[in-house]
Formats: sequence, C-alpha cells, structure tokens
Amino acid sequence: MNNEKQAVKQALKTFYANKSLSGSQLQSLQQKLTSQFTKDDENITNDKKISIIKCLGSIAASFLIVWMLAYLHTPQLISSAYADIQKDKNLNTGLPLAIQQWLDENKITRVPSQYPVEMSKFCTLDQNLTMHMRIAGKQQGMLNVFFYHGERPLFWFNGTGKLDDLNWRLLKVRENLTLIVFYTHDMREKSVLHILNEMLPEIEV
Amino acid sequence: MFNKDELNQLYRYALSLSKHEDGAYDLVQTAIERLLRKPTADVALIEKPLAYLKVIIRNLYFDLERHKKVLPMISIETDNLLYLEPVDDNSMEDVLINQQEVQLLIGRLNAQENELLYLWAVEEHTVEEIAAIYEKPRGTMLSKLHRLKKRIREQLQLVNIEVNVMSNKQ
Repeated sequence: MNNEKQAVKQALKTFYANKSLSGSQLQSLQQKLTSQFTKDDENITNDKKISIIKCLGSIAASFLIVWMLAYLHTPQLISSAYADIQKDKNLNTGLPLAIQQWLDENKITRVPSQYPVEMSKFCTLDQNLTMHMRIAGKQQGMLNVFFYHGERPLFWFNGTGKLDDLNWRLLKVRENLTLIVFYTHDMREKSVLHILNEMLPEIEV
Repeated sequence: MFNKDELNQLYRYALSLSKHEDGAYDLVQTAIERLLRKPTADVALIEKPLAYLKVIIRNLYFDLERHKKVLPMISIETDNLLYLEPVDDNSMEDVLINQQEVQLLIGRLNAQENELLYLWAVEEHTVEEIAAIYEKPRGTMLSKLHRLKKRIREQLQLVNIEVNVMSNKQ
C-alpha cells in the first residue's frame, strides 16, 4: 500500500482509482447487458410482427364487418323482389315478344311447355334492371324468377331463406347472370329444379 | 450501454456505500438487472442512465440495510443545522493522509458519510450538483459537507492513534 501522504481529496481519489471490477466481473456485467440488447432487438422484431398481425387482424375484421353488413343487406334485395311479386300477382302478361328476344339474346332456353308462364316483364330491383317471370306449377304452386344480366353487385351473395309463404334463393349462374328465385311452399322443389335446369343447363342448384 | 469506465464508476460509487468489494459488485449487478427488467421504451426515455443507476444502487443499499436493521441512524442528517460555520473548500487541504489511513477513515464513517465524501472528493461534484442528487436544498448540503469535514478531522485523529498503535505492535 502506498504510504505517501496526500491531501484528503487526492488520497481518496487514489484509493478509489485502485478499486476496479475484476476481469470476470466486468465480463459478466457486459455479457448481461449485451444479451439483453440482443433480446431487445428480438423483442423489437417481435413487436413489429405483432403490430403487423394486429394491423392485418383489423383489416380482416373490417372486411368481416363489411361482409356481415352485406350479408344482412341481401334480404333487402329479397324484400324488394318479394314486394314486386306481390304488386304483380294479378298481372298476366304471358311471354311477350320482347321478353322472348331477351331470353334468346341471353341464351336462356324457354320454360318447358308443361309450366305455363303467367307473367313476364322487366322491372327494377334496388336500381338494378331485372326480368321478372312468374311460372305456374304443373298442378300447384308458383315460381317467380328474376333474371339479372350483368356484373353482380358487390353485396349480392348466394343464399337461401324463407319470406312469408315463399322460399327464396339467390344464385349466380354465369359470370353475368344472377337469379333470384321464389317459389311457394306448395311448389315441388323437383319441379323448380327441372324448370331451371331446362332454361339454364349449366345451373348447379 | 455502459463501457468499462462507467461500470467501474458505478462499482466505486457502490463501494463508497457498502465498503465491501463483493457487496459493491452485487449492488451494481442487481441495479443493472433492475434496469434491464424495465421495458425498452422506458429505458430509452432515461436521460442519464449512469445517474439513474446510481440512484438504484443507493436505494438498493439502504433498503438492504433497513432489512438488516444495522443502518446507523446517527449521521450528519440529524445534526443541528441552525448554526452554520462558513464552509471553506480548502479546509481539508492541510490534512495529509496515506492510503492506510484512507482505508481506516472509510471504515470509521457510515455509508451516508462515505457516499457524500465520494461524491465530493472523487467525483468532484459541486454542492449544487450534490444537492440535486439528494434532492435537498443547497444550504442543507453545505451544512452536511461542513459537518462531514469536521467529522473527518475528528476521525483522522483517532485513525492516527490507531495507526500508531498498529506500528508499535509491528
């Protein structure tokens, strides 16, 4: 130990200057710090990943909400079609020439003769022009079909359901042809399929 | 985050409190572990990490001592602060001591005294800086330093006696 006399301040400085961490202690502390920073880097990467996942999750949730709203929106279209059916239930126009031409232009085969077409006309559903056709069952029941030609609106999804005394089904037949089908409970489903398959052989109901 | 010099600085500060090398190392290690346990974002907000660690070391030490219940409660804190003699920073200049005496002196002072002595003599903080570290008024720190210097003179007399006794024994 240095026995040289120094002023108190200087002596204290010398005393503490001689006190240092050992090599192994320093190494241990620095290792601790380094490993933590590596972990921090990993955590930052993980945090970023989590943020991206959260972001994607939010987008997916938004899409889901939009889809749900859209799904719930479909019955409005159905209600609109139902209202049109009710409005025209006493109308008997048969199959006018204009409708026959329209069917030909859109490559839709005529209704099998055993099912009389009671009414057919153009109408607008939710601002979309459709062709409405009412077909009577062979013995009982009634089938109403709305043909929509063109790109299907975003919120029209395939689906089925019941509305009062009618079963309904919305189905895409071709890229530019969508059907909204209503049939009474007393109409045989087999007859409905037969009519639709005759008119549109590519249909898969 | 901390280089070798800074880690040694923390160690010396811890040593001024604990007086024992192993204890000082434990304090530094625990303080660093505590700092690293904090979220990265919080650590990034710490303006002076070194000063922050010193506060952790200080709190750790005094918490530990409180648990042990060996912390001497008579210290410069309890001194009467009503009368202040003028403080002369050079008042210790005429006192000369060697390393053996330093060691004995440190052993005779309590942790708070040693800490203050370290901050003043080794780290050469001004009274204002020390007051800021302790979050105490400047006047209080002036008084503490004054009394510390007085106590050092008293203790050094005892240290001299002790050194003489030891020399005679040898």
